[in-house]
Amino acid sequence: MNKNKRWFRLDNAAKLYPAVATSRWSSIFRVSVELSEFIDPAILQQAADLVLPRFPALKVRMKTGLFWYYLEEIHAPLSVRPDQGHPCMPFSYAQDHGYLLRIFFYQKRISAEFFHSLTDGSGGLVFIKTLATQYLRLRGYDVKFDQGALHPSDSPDPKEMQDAFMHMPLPRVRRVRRESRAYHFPATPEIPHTLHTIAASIPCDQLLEKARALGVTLTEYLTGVILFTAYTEQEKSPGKGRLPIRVSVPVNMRNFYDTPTLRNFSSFINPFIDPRLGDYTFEEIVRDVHAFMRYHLNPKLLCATIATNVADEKYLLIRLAPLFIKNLVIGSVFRRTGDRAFTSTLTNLGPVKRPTGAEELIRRFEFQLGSPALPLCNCACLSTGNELRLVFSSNIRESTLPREMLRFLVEKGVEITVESNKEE
Amino acid sequence: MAYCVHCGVKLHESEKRCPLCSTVVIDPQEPRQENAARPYPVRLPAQEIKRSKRFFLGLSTVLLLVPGLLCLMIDLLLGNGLTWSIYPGGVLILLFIDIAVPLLLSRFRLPLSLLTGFFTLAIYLFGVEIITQSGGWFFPIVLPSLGLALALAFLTFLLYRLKLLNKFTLLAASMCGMAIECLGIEILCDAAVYGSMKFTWSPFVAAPLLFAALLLFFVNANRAVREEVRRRVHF
Repeated sequence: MNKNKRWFRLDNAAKLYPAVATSRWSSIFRVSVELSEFIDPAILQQAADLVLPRFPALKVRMKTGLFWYYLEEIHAPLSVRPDQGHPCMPFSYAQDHGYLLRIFFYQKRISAEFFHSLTDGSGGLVFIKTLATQYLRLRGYDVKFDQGALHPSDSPDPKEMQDAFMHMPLPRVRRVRRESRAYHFPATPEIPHTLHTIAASIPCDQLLEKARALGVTLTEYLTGVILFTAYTEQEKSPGKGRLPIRVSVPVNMRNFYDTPTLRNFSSFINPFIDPRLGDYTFEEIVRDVHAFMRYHLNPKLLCATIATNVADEKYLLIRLAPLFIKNLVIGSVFRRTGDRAFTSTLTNLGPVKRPTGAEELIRRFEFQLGSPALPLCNCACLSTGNELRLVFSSNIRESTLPREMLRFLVEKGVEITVESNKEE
Repeated sequence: MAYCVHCGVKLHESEKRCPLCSTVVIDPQEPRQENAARPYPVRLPAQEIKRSKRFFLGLSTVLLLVPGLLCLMIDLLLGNGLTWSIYPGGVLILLFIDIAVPLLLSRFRLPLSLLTGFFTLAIYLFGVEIITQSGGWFFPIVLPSLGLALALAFLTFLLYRLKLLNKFTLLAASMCGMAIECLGIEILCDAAVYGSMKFTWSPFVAAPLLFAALLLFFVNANRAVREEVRRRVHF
């Protein structure tokens, strides 16, 4: 039976996540779509059954090899479930036939949660678009599989499953990856399995107007707001030593290298300010972020970062080390460095287009990061039409970052609507 | 839709408080609808995994019986009847009681387990004294040492239950208790053996324990340091 099951190597970025995952924390993200009508679970199940075979890289379970983890195909169907509890809770390899993907429905929303070893935000978005389109078609609407939605009856392109990191031209250089410890907002950690979600809906045109007034992009503007918020907070406790403030911004490598891969294919850049150098104004921070991004969003530099990671993976001694030793080393390095170097993460999937015919049927898409490894608050955003959906995810009691960030935007004249999963 | 008077953001109709600053939402013109649909599902209480007491009791019985029977067999086969196997056998029985009592109790688990542990250990050691016929050490040394340990454990437990101790100070108080216990044991040993106090080893154990306890009390008293420690070592 096992001989009939396909298997996949983990891609370069995916190798980290199972090594550092525990029963209390693992790297998961959620992509959702909100429709204009309530979800019919039976039809959603039908849609999931039709769509999943089109994504063989998602129909897999995690298996342990001697030297690396690998993904093995699952033949069993995936059941859609009502959304209960907090989002992005850790996966158990023993549940749901070992699926590392979950599909939920709640009122008018369909959500898919992915273990990060399977894919990244862009891959997740393609899946949820395809699922939503199939669902709407089964509901009788004339919606086309376009704008990123794949046709379920097409056979999967092998390139969609390739590890694009290994197929891109990489320089033979290594970059220094070490980043110093960054400032973290004062935080009280929540009990395990808690993920507070605060979602803000912001009119894109209003935000773009503010960003354009400073000559920057929307991502640069939001990164600047996070840096300024953290800078202001750090300045409130002047007794302590000042630390650099750094935001991790994932970069979709598909924008630089044309590949249809649906697996992980992203890198990071980390714009920062160092308050030890002196005082900053908001405009100064945004200008610095803009300059940083212009310089670092450069295929050569991004490739050099990836080349460093790929070189580690290809290093013979590392390859020959048994998996449990790799896990010990990766786990200890991750705990020692990991999120310590970042004040927060901001990921922007950009403008998302609705499939043709679904303009009135799909209200919005939403992207949410899972629990950070340390007590932090991360942000993820994307825009549908004129609405930017900014979602904060945190495992802490305080709401300092969203509160100060959104208050700042309100003061700038931006209209914001907020909703959350916080209970009394 | 109401606005938060502090943050200036519009709030979803289901929000009772602003999720950013916790300010209560009051809109006299549009009172909040109690049954408004929430944008996110209500969190279900975490499912507690119920462990079967019977299973653990059975498992511990088997795990303790195997080495017990093994010792007994070896002693009977190789020795001249029951000799040394009485001692490991006694320890295994003690362990079984220490495991079984907390499992069987539903209330006052900790104080009753402490009391049971004290009495069973005292009986065992008294038995050892009688069997080995090496009189003179149980009543002057062992019994008061155990009594002191029990009293210190009870005192710490009581202070914790009265909420006079938190997690930091509980650890600090336990360390102080261990330091006192060490000093007490040496005093009792010296009094029984030499008739005077010599303090040869216990200060070396007590001093670092007391230093660590003081450090914890300091961390507890300083809110900023406490939060920093909590942030770094939370699990």
